[in-house]
This record gives sequence, structure tokens and C-alpha cells, in this order.
Amino acid sequence: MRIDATGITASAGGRRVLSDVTLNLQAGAFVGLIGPNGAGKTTLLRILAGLAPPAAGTVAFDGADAARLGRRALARRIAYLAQDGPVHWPLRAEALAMLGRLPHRGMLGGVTAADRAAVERALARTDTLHLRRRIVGTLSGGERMRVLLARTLATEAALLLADEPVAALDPRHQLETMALLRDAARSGTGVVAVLHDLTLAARFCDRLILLSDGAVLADGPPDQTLTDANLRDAYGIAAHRGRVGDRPFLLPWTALSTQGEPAR
Amino acid sequence: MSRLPLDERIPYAALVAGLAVLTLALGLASVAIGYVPFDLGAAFGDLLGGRATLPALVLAELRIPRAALGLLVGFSLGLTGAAMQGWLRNPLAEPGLVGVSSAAALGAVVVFYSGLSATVALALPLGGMAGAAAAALLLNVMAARGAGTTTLVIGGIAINSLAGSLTALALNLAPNPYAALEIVFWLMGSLADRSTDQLWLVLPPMLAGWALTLSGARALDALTLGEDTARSLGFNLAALRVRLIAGAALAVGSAVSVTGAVGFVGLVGPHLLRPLVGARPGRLLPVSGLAGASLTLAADIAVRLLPTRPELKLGVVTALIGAPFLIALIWRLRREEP
Repeated sequence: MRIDATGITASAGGRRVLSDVTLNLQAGAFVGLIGPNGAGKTTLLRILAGLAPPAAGTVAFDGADAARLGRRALARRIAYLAQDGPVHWPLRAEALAMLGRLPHRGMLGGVTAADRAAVERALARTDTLHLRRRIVGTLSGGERMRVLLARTLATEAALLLADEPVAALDPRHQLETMALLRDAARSGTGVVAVLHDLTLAARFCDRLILLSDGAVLADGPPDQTLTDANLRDAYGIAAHRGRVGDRPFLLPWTALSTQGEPAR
Repeated sequence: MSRLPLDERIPYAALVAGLAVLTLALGLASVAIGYVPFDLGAAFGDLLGGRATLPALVLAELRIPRAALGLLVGFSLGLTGAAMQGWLRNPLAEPGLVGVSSAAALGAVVVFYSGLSATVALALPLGGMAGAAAAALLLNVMAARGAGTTTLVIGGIAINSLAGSLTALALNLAPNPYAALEIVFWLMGSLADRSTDQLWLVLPPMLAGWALTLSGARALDALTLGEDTARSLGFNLAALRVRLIAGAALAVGSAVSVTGAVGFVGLVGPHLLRPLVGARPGRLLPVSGLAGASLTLAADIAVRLLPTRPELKLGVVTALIGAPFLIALIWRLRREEP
């Protein structure tokens, strides 16, 4: 599975949100989509998921456009996790995860053994097996996010697009979820996650796409995208850098004034 | 762990079967109960033997159409209520909310008012269906212009009050007090003295409406997670909207056009059953249809057993039970919110 986006432009409320974004995604890599608030990350992710058409430009899924592929075929190949995804009815966690199997089910056919097995795997991978009988509304924010992630994994799509999957989690579950997404990528699924935590992004992702003002400012391995110049231009921050063993890490440390000087 | 919750204790198939048996039992009870002393066995014997005796006529022309219409109307209201709640993701939605019911009532009142109902036997139900179709079309046009669910609810309220005020206008201009009284009584909703012709007229559109609505079950499940996620799961929400609005117009439009306004069944049915299906919107559809049928049949039996004469109108009884239920529901919803 690959997605080729070429010259993507999008507007919202008369404001240009994305201008001339070109990128390609494929299975087997953990890609972080980063950038300051309002940079157009969610808009881009929705366009890549085939949920919204771009104002200009093309998105090709395995070389075909969304209409030719058909929405059900696309739904089996791309799983999408919405930002703080709503759950409107008091479903049990297991029933919610089972919704991820909808693209695989026929018009009338019931739940198959394959559906059950996929849901079991997804619940196990997100460490939510013990929550299966719980009603989603009674879960903590972190538990809820993991159940929603289990729903996404249950689809067993080739590509997983997740909008801020770790925003609501405590540090332990952030680390576990990032490791889980990385492992999913290692086992062949393509993962694209919108992330705000640059430390986690630098540590876990294979590739980072840095959006700034609706354009791709940098696209490549973390050490090439999270340079001091890029951090200053995109976020207006300076980072503290260090090493843990042989691995580098980065920690956002100082907000810069518009002239690039440390702000008070 | 103490006792399992209800939705885990009762398998879904058993729930459907149990409700179907209850509905059929209430249907039979509705056939058996009436104002004249009546030998049900003999009547059935005469009817099946093709003997046109009085009991056989009462059974075929009065009792069976009344029970069958009660079942059909109740199922339509319960099913559509569950579908509207799932679609708008709002537990307070019901067929009346989106304006289909009141537009159907207006259509029937216009027929009443024009005097067509006296000359053409089936003009009344046809007028009701036309009203429902007009409301459905208007809703679809609003939704196709990108209106969100809140806008649709407000649009439904607008259609409701427009239809309500036009109905009041018709009453105001009614040529004589008897015409006005007839309209008012009809609006209250009743299953009394309905004919087999009306039954055959509304059956096809109702079945079509049910099929359209039930075909949206999977998409309604997906909508639990919001519109973006439902779309990402491969569902065409524009097609779902057309199916649900058309389904509501066909099922509820024809229901209202033969019975008048029978309120609250579409609201109460889904609520009673939601905890028993683990709140899954797709599974809720058939069972709340059956619950609606049971509620309507039970209420229609009650109006005949109550000693008031002339009998209470069915819509009055469902509203008397349903309105306090709605207040209790809002009370509980308010408490659940932080």
C-alpha cells in the first residue's frame, strides 16, 4: 500500500490551510506528522485518509484515485483514528473494537472467527483485554484512547493514520503506545501519526514530516528534520539536546522571541 | 463480579424472539378484545370456512385490520425512532422531531379540509404520505447543502412548527364546527374503525420504509464513532441520509396518514431496549421496532378496556404515558452529564 500526494492545496473558511504539499507514504515505516498548531496536520491527514478531497492536487492510493478504488476497498486498506474521537453511545470496549471489522463484513453476514481473532489481537496489543466488558464512557482518558486504538488496529489495514494518538496518555502509556506503533510499522503496517511531543517523535519515528504554515518545511529522518534552524522557523523554540547511551534525544526548552532570541 | 449486566445475560437472538412472541401475543389479544361479546373460535372458523356470518365479518373487517395496523404502525414508529436517534446521535430524537409526522398530519388535514376525503376513499392516507414526502424532501435538501445534525434538528423543529401552524390555520378556517371537530379528533390518533383497504394501502410503503431503514444498520453502528470515522470505515453517509429520510417518510408518513399522530412510541421504544443490546445502534433497530409494536398494541388494548366512552384516543394515551417518560429521561440525562 502506498499513498502518493501531489501538489495538495486545501482551504478552510477562506484561509489557505495547505499549499502545494507533495509527499508519499508506504507500508513498513513509522512516520510522524509534526508542526505547530494550525500548520494543517489534521487537514492533511484527512486528505491522505481519503476523507476530504483536496482543493487542488491529487492523492493516489496504490496508483488509483479513491473513487476508482471504492470506499470499502479503501477502508480495508487505511485505518483512521480521529483526534479525540467521540463515542456517542455507551458501548462496551469489545463491541467498540469490533467496529474496526466493519469494512470486512458483508451486508448481512455476521461476525466471523477471523473478526473475533483480529479483535483479540488488537485488544491484546493495546493492553485492553481486561477492559473488554467495560462501557467506554466509564474508562479513563488513557484507557479510552487505547480502546479506540484497538478499534483502529482491528481493521488490520495496510496503513494506519492516527491523529494525536498519544495526546491523552500518561508517560507510561505514551511510551507503550509509541512502541506499539513502531512495532506495527516493523511488522509491515505503515503508520502515520500526528504528534506534538517532539521528544517522542524523535525517539520512535523513522521519518518526520514537519509542516509549517501549510507547507512541508522538512521531510526525512528525525535528525535531519529536527534541526535547530527548523525548530526555530516552525515552532519558534530552541531545544536542549543530550544523549542516553548512544542514542540522542531532544527536549523543547526555550520559547524564542520573533527575532530568534530567548524570550523571557 | 456480581450479576452480569442485562445485555450479556440475554442473547440477542433470544431477545428478538421474545419480543416477537410478545408482539404476536398482544396482536392476538387485540383481536380477541372488543366491545361486543364475541366467540373468537367460531369467528375464525367461519372466516376460514368462507361463511359470511356476522362474527366472521367483524373479525375480518374490524378486529384484524385494527390489530394489524397497530402492529405495523408501532413497528414503524419504534424502528424509525431508533434510526433517527442513531443517525442524529441524539437520544431525544424521534420521528416527530424531524417534522415528518407533523407534515404527514398536515397533508391529511388538507385532504380533510378540501372535502376530498368524503369523495375518494383513500385520499386521506395518500394526503398524509404526500405531506411526509414533502417534509423528507425538504430535510434532504437541507442536509445535502451540508447541514450538520444540529442544523437538521433545528430544521425539523421549523418544519414541525410550520406544519403545526398550517394545521391550526386549516382548523381556523374550517367551514363548520363539525369539520373542525373531526380534524381535531383525527389528529389525536386512533386505530378505531380502520379498514382493510387502508391496511393494504399502507403495507407496501411501510415495508419499503423498513427495508431502507434496516439497510442502514451497519452505517449507524459506525456513526457511533462520529462522521469522519464512519466514512473511514467505508460508509457513504450521503447515501445513508437519503435512505433514512426516505425510510422515515415512507414508514412514518403512511403510519400517521392512517392513524393520526401517535406520539412518543418512537422515543420510548428505543430507550427501553438500548440497555438490552449493549447500546449498539444497528442491533437496536429491529428490537425497538418490535417494542414499538408491543407498546402500540398494548395502548390500543388499554383504550378499549378503560371504561371511558367514547374510547380515549390512542395518541392521548401514548402521550399521557410518554410525556412523563420524556421528562424522566431528560432528568436522567442531565444527571449523567458532569
